[in-house]
Amino acid sequence: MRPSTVNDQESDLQIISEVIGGDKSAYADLVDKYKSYAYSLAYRILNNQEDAEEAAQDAFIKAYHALPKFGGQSKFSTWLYRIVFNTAISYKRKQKHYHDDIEVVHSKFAGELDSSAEKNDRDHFIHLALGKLLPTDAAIITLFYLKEHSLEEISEIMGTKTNTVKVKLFRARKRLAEELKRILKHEAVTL
Amino acid sequence: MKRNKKITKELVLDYIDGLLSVEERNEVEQALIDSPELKAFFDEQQSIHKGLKNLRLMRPRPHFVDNVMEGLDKIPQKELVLKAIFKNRGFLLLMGAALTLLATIYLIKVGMVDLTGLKDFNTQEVYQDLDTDVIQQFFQGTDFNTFLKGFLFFDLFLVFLLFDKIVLKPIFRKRAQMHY
Repeated sequence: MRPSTVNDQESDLQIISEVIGGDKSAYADLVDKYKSYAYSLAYRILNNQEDAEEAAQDAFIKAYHALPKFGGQSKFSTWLYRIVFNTAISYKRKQKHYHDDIEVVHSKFAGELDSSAEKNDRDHFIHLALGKLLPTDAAIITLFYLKEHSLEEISEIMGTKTNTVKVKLFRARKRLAEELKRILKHEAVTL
Repeated sequence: MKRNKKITKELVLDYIDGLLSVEERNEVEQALIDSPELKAFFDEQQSIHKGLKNLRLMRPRPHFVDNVMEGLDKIPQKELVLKAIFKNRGFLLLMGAALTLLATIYLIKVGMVDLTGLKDFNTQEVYQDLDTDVIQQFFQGTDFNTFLKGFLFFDLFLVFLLFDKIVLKPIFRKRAQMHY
């Protein structure tokens, strides 16, 4: 384990003990620390800004109420992302189906990417393709790449076996490649 | 070519992820030279891998933390449903009815209430010890077997009715509120 990770974990545990001890405001530090990752994960599953924010906020609230049950066997972040993942998947089931055209997804992501990223066609199209994947495929790729979670951590977050995660990741990458081809083909036709 | 058969696409991805030993890496590299199909797969996945490495965190809107902190005082949905169930006094009635039902079935099953001997219940031997005249009269004029079946049926009906009213309805009401 990297020293920064150990420090991170210690500082998380310190904040958690403060929150459990009655200092509710200390929880804001944890929310602030993990909000972007929680939101990104929820967004990849839900593909909708408002729903993703709502799901991520809901997950943080659930985590707060369940904090006394957090035993510290795993990292707080892993525990939290599991709640985020499950909450977002549950929101997805209730969500109206969005059948976004590539153009719609295109414009949606355009606002979120900075100008330097927009210049990078490959990264941009990968963002588009990720938006077209199945929720669990997009989530598994996000977990693997965004903070470079190990397969073991991903299996803990998703509640599946490590081997299953590996197989799912392999399939997700293949599907991503297929989506990418489809988008590029579409782009070529529209140009 | 034999060596190429061992090199799967999964292994190529492991190569990209840097999960292989030196020996395995050499084997994959040789396979990539030998097989244009694997090389095409590698190029495609390598490009995606580089793109995904640049995947960046997305930021929620500025009031995200405030919204969460405000929401902490709200009772979670699950607890709301449980409260809706438990605050109703009918829940105790439901539990009582369910326990009675289970206890009766259990007593019959273990033989403490012997249905085969129930015909004798109306005889003097069984009810002669009962103190009050009212009870004696009741059992004299009633087939206990029928009474027990009737009781079980009524209790079962009561359990279903209470379960619907006290447990299912609050859950579906909350679900409907979440949807609309």
